[in-house]
Amino acid sequence: MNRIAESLKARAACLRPSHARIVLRDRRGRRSAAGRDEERLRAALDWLGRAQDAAGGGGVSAGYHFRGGWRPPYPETSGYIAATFLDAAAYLGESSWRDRAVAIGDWEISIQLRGGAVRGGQGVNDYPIVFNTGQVMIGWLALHRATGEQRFLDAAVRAGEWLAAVQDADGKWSRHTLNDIPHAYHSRVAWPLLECGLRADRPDLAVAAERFYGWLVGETAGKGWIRHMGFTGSGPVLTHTIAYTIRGLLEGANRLDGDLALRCREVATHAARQLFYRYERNKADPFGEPRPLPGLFDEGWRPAAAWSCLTGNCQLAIIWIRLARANDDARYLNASLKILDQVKGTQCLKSGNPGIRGGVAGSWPVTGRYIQSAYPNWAAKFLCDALMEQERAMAGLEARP
Amino acid sequence: MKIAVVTGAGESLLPGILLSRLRKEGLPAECVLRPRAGALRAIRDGLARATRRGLACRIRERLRPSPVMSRIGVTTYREYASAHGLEGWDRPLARIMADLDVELVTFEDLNDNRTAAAIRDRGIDLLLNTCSSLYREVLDAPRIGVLNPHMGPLPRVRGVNAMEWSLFLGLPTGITVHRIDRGVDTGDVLLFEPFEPKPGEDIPALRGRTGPLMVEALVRGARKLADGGAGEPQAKSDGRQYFVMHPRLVKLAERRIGG
Repeated sequence: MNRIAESLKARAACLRPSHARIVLRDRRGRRSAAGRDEERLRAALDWLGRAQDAAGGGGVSAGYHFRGGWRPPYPETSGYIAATFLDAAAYLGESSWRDRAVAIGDWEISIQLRGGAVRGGQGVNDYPIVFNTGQVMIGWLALHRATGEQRFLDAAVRAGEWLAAVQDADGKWSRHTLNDIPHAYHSRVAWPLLECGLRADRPDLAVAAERFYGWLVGETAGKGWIRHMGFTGSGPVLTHTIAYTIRGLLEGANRLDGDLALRCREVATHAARQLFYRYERNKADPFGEPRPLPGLFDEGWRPAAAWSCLTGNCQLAIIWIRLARANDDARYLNASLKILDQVKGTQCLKSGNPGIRGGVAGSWPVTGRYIQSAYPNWAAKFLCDALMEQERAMAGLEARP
Repeated sequence: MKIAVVTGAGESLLPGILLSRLRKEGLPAECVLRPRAGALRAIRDGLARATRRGLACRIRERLRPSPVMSRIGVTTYREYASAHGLEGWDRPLARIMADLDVELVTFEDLNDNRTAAAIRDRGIDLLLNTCSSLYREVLDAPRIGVLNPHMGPLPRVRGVNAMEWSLFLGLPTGITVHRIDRGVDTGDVLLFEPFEPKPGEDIPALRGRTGPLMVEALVRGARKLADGGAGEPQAKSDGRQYFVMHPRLVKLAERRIGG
């Protein structure tokens, strides 16, 4: 009965005109024509700014939902949005984004748990979560790099110490994690932990990160699949968390030495390649555009969703751009341009609803199962990151004689 | 050696010129295999034939750009036909076939049993592909196989937009004639016919003049097989499969024309 009531409420929420326009647009398979990339980047950044203002206090609202509007601030994603704001400040030459990043960093320090961990969930809760801690470390470390302010590095070190303390002996984390199980996407925890260890001259933290990578590279299955990539221990996995895993491995590879670095890169590249081929080969017409990448894949890399996870698509675009450079393989850059065009086409630039205008939905269509009927802040964040990454890559190519 | 030409359903000068050129070369085609056309397609193709030259053609190009129908394409075919003494090259395919006594065999599905039977019943040794069909089960029907003109150097550049990718990567542009197998552009290579882009040429113009080059390459490939030659096998790992090129990369490829 509860489920029926919830479903009816969800459908009713879609009837508000600004929501209905998006639902209908997606049902018809329409996407808005790709406008100028700078316009889209600014629109997404402005949306993030409004999300930060909506939350108050410095953190960024978790997102705008058709049911209930703006959500409370989300410590996890606010943390890495700080890095995006700093990148935008440098990319656009506008210091206001840096100010916003600093506000996030200070808010995160103000709510950091006594032991150093970052709080789980949306809002200010009392429990620590490993993954969230890693994501805020990414923001703090970026703030330390950009501002030189010691308080951000100190906060990152406190967080790193907590992570090292709760780590399993074999390197994985299985306590204070979502569903109390290990996750491969903790590679995005090991990444900032490693960087923190190197930057703060704390070899113990770097060693803890290496232990995790050592465990993770042993968790591969057939065809480049990596175990534990999902939120749960079984079932298909979101491209969002697959991309988290791959990115964390690549960042680890950039900071490690020797065989472990090579292995991290190999594992990441194999997984990224699988998704690249699944994207490029999934088309009705060999000479046409690829279909939107399904949002879920199972262990055999078989698609398991009819909807697309827009965050995952942006994350993969970033990964593919980097692989294009690392492997001298422009096919990856080509795929990233196309998948980003598809995401950009879902971004509504003209809505009168500030929760929609410039934002990126969880899924395409918007009623897809990932963050259904909502605009999560991390989707906009990753679109911004991807657009800046894309433009830097293309500027390099276009500048060549 | 009995040869058949496989065409698409659309209007193109290439198959007709290929038939004429094969006849001149002493390798006359037995038949043309073509998808069965519906009424709407017949009307559209009739319109295309009637308006091949002139304003209506330019309007049609705007709606569905086709380098074969472009002025550059027509001019290039005219020059080619003149060079090889091919008369009536721009007549409708049906007229050319009638004049050369080439049978038309239509099919619903290239890869179904009936098509395969039609090929075997006629004792066809070699199919020459002039369209973008996908070959699967029908590959086993002709005795020797199916030849395809691929718009890039194999094995380096497999897949789609091979010419554009060749330009982008700084590789030689040209046409590879290869046998079609079950992989993507992985079959035995018979020959590579290079062509040089002209400085200042754009991609559509370059594509527009490749039609006759494809004809000549296919004829040379067929001649090589008729004379007892064979293709060179490719190792699967030797090349990469490329996909539809994003317009921003096409622009960069274009910039590389003319050095």
